[in-house]
Amino acid sequence: MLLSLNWLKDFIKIPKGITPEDLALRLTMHTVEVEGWSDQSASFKGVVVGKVLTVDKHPNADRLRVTTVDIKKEVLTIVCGAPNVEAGQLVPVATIGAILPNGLEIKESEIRGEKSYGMICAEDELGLGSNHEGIMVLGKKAKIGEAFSEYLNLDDIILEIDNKSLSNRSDLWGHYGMAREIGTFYDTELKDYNEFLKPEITPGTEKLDVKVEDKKLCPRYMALAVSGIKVEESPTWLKDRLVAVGLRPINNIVDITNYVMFETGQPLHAFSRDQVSKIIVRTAKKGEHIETLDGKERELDEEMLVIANGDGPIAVAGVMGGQNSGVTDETTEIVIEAANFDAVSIRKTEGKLSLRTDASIRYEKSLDPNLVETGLRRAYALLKTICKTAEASSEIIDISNFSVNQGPVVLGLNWINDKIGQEIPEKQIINILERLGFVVVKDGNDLSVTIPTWRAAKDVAIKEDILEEIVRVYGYDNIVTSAPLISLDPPEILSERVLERKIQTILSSNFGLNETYNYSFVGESQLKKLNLDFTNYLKLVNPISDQLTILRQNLIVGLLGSVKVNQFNFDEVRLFELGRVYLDAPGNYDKAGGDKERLPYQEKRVAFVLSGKQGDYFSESKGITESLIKQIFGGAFEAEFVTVEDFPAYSDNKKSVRVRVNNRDLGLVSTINSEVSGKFGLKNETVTVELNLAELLALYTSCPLVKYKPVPKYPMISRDLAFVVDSGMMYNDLRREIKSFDDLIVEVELFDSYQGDKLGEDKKSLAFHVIYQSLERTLRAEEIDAIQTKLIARLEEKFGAQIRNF
Amino acid sequence: MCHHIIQLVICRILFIVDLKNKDGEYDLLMRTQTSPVQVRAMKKYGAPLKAIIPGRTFRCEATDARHEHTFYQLEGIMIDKKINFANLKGVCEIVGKKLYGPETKFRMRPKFYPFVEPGSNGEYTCFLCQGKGCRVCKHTGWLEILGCGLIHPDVLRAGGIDPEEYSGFAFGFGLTRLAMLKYGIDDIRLFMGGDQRFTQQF
Repeated sequence: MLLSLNWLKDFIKIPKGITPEDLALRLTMHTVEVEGWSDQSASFKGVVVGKVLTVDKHPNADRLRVTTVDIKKEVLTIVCGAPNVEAGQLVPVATIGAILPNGLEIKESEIRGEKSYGMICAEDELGLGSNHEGIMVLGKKAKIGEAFSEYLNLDDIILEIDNKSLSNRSDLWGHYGMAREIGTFYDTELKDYNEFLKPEITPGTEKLDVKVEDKKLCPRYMALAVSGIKVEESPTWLKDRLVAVGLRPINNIVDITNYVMFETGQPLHAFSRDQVSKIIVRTAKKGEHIETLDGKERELDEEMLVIANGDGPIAVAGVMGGQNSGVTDETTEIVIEAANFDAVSIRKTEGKLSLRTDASIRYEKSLDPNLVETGLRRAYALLKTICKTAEASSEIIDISNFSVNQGPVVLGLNWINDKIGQEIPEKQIINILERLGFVVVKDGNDLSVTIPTWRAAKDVAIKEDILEEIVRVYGYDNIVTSAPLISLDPPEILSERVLERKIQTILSSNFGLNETYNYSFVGESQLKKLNLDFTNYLKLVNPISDQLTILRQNLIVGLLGSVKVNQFNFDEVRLFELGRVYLDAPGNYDKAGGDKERLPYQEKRVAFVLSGKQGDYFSESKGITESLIKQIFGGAFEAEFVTVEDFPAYSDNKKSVRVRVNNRDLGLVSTINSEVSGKFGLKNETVTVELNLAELLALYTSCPLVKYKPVPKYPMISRDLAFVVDSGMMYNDLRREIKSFDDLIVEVELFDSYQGDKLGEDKKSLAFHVIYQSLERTLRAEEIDAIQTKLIARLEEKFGAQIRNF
Repeated sequence: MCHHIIQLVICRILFIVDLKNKDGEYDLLMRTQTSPVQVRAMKKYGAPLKAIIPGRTFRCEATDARHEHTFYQLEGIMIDKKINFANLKGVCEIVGKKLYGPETKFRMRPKFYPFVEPGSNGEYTCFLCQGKGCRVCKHTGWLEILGCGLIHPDVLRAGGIDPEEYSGFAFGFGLTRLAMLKYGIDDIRLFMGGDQRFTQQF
């Protein structure tokens, strides 16, 4: 919203010496954000009024003239190309150094051998119109030598207010409300607005047929018919004000309604009297249409409030008038509407029609219904001033159904100071509130504060609201900081966070994986490519793209997408993600308000992906998983890998395993099969691992402390054994069997895995160090041989493992 | 995800989950800020309470270099018997010095947020130009970082805390924005883009 300083000065005196910078800063620090300000006069710097003294032909060019122009402090020689230049004219002269609105900088120049010391300007060169027919000839009131901006009455300062920061302050959508704020923090008197409501309305005798059918959506409706109207151009002062705040003057009637809106914040509408034999405020009927003032045909629905006459809608209430009922040049009698409409209803209508206007922007903020009367009276007063023949021809219609809660709110002075943490003098507190229009009655140590109607609509209701008024006017900047007085309780340790940090550190520092984030949303097409069924996925009502329509149920989709992002720039992609998936099942959290219903289950997971052509990523992924589990649990738990019947449809079943820890299923290591790789566009072998963080956490919090074992006094003996097994055999199964075979076997380590022609198809060799140790004695070779013989027999019997000789 | 009866037209920035409650209304949305956790934390721990709440947040907006529909926020709350506005200012000042160095100054100005009263904006002196004015701070010398205020009594009540006995403050900021400012990152989409040319830099 734009604010005119001249307009504000109608209502308050701004102390001398206050610069626009200062005003902008104070408004920002106390009330609302000022985005910038501009000085109108600066727009024509270096342009002055001059009088053409002589006009001579240019010696070297037929179309050019050489003129002399008096600008009071000197007489300039200027070469001019305009056909209409004549001696005696008063003209705008851009002097050397001036920069015109189109960016042209005026320099001393030589045109066809004749020196020129400035430029006589045409309208379009000054940004004042499109006329380039000739130079602009000024009226007689122009004074030689005066600044052109002065001639145009451009002496205003314009402040630009950030509309968003006004969203809770419906009272600040007009100059008078802003003046009240400024008056408060500069502590200067605000003029009584009643002064601006004269002459008062002398009602006429005609009846107006007005019916408000929906009083909830229209808490107040006032109307007045005024005759003796002559629609014409507005006086200059009024047009200047409107232009200053960014409006286009139209005619005196429309301009007055806009003027009142920008002064009081109350939107008004003027109907042509002959179109409104009847006024009905009602919701639209199904199938009704209206052509709004912007020339667009709009379809209405039963939730939208309209103003109708006997025939149909003539305005979308609070948003825009209809083409059929507006004021025209021939209008001699008008009906001024001043009304209050429900903010939520206005917002809905704005949304459905994709139409926001200066009026609807104000209504959507919840306006004070009392403002309706002020607006109507102000409009009448202006009409009488501008259009002398105007007379109220009807009674004043006022149909209302509203109440505002003005309190009073009682708050203690001690409470105020406690909440601020600093003592603000009582006198100052009361003065701040009174300047803002609150009525304060002191009762002992308490203040009983009555809320002004213009703040009661939505903005101020409780003592904390009043506290804010005091602190912000006193100045947030003037509050002295202090450290809170609190008990020093040690914070609760969040195991989930500790575990996450651990995982992040292990995966990034030990295995060179980069952490990444992917969207919580995925697209159906991606899931289709992964052969995943997404019928039970949660959907968004309003997705922003067809790639992001449903809520993810695994982290794999996102990570595979990241592989595609990177596979052409990197030989190897190594990424991990910690994040939530969203399942269509009741979760751990209640919905708000004691509701028994629960939010969907949002499970946290950790996943990583390896992709490239440099290695055996399936083995590496298992290795990383194994090591991750070992490091998280300090060796108390180990990862086991098991094959199952049903892997996800994107898996290569031969190179996929489920991950189990302490007999709990934790997740999956999965090589993406070639069919899916092809469909998804993965260039290289890609392996993903996804683990359930909640399960990991449950193990983590129950994980036993490592138990100390006495350091063995007797030596250990290591024997190496290699077996040829089916290539689908899990080494872990073999290892577990060996380890549990005899109490004297304390450790089993895989040190080689080999596949080759010599072994035959579908065979592999697994070689282990088998470590024997006793806590009680030194073991003898025969003893170990005996165990080993039995072990070999057992493995052959159970797994068909053939001992391989080195 | 959080829970709210949704007025579709009013809430243009909400991602709404296509799951209706027993009354046939949409009441699930992707949270637009971490603030709903305030009430959950109050219900779980009661007062006094000090908490830091980081998290992923969502706004239904088209993306470009400066806008992202998925980003991260962090907020802090402190609730005790004598928490006041001067404390809020004191703690936020410390947060700024921690983030941007000991010379950092803190400035507050009124701003409306429905869950605090009084509500405020928090600005720190620009860490790039030390408050002299530069392109990053749009020549104001200040960077708008925080939203903050004293916790609204309705919020305390919703968390089962008596606002007559306890008071508290809350502050919050966009973590993603903070990281962009700190490292001079000019495209917010990089955070969720999964590009190793980006992730490997940190």
